[in-house]
Amino acid sequence: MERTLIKIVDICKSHQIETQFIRNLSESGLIQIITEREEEFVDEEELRPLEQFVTWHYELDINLQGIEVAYSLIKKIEKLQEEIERLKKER
Amino acid sequence: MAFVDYYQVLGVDKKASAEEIKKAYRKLARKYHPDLNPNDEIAKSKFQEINEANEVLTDTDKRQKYDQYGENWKHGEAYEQARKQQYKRSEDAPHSGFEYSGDYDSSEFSDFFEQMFGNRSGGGRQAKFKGDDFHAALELSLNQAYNTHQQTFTVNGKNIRITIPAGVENGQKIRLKGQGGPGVNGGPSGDLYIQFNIKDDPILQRIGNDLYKTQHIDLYTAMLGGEVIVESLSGKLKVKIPPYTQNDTKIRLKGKGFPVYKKENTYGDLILKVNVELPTELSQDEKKLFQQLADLKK
Repeated sequence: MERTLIKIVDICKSHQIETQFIRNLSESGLIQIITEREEEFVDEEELRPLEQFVTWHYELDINLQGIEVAYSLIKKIEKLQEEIERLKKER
Repeated sequence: MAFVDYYQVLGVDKKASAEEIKKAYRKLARKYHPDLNPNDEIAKSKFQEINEANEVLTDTDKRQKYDQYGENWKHGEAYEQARKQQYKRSEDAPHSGFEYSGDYDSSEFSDFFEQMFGNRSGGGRQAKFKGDDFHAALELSLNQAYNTHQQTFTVNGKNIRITIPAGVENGQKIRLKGQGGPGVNGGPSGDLYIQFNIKDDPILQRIGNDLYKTQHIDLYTAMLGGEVIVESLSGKLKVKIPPYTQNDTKIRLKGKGFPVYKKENTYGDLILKVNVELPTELSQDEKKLFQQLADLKK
């Protein structure tokens, strides 16, 4: 059994970002923060989307609202692409 | 090898300021970034072009060289000189940094770029490498694994303090990102993996979240019933023994077992396996009474 939790302070240090950004993502429901003994973590599984959000915000200059919209649209696109692939195979 | 007009790629004027270039790049990157265009090869390729243009036009040296020789790259002599200078400079001061870490192959720059600024992997820059992952094992007693606690230990000369949540399993690993060896050429540090090894306890056996314990009771308590005090990891428990309790009977104490990992206030059960201890010697009076009991049964 292996489950990895990553400290938010470590992520922020590594990407040179503020912890508030991650908290804002959490408040928007884009990622989940796990608090244990007054320390904040995210599950390793959330690291990939989290790093995407960091890139979008800090390098592409997309604000939080933009991230929410983009993420939701991307999820829809991915679902539609899967559906298309499935239908192609069924034909 | 085709000439690439980086200004055209970013849609900016040749006299564009660094700020204008940055703005144009961001606008196009938002449109074509592979993250935002899943499984779109055209967007990916377009993004690589934009990225390449940005790489050249935001670097003062490269932009100057590009402006000077770029369009005339076919005019051998000047171009060759530029290349030689570039290679020399690359060896002396390797460039570092690459803005994106998305899901695409950043090495796929155009032939034009390779010719003009050198091979990305061999000349113009150094590859970044993640540092080594470290592996460590931490031995815990059952009692330590029962409680959430902090431990400090030293790995490669570095003091690391971690919180070990109650209910951690034997053999379970956790990863501490970035606590491994340092990266090479500005690459990220490696990770530290810690494996928890929980020592066997002489009294309690743990199976999942349940604890098993052999509870010794005397013959009289087994026959007549009574109360025993059981030592558990959460303290002393008073347990009722019903009359006529047989040897090997199991008594389940709900919620008195091991804490469930990452689930606060949730515990497994404590299962007591009764071991009735028969007397190994009897006084004369006891013998008489046992004899009476035996006679009653006849």
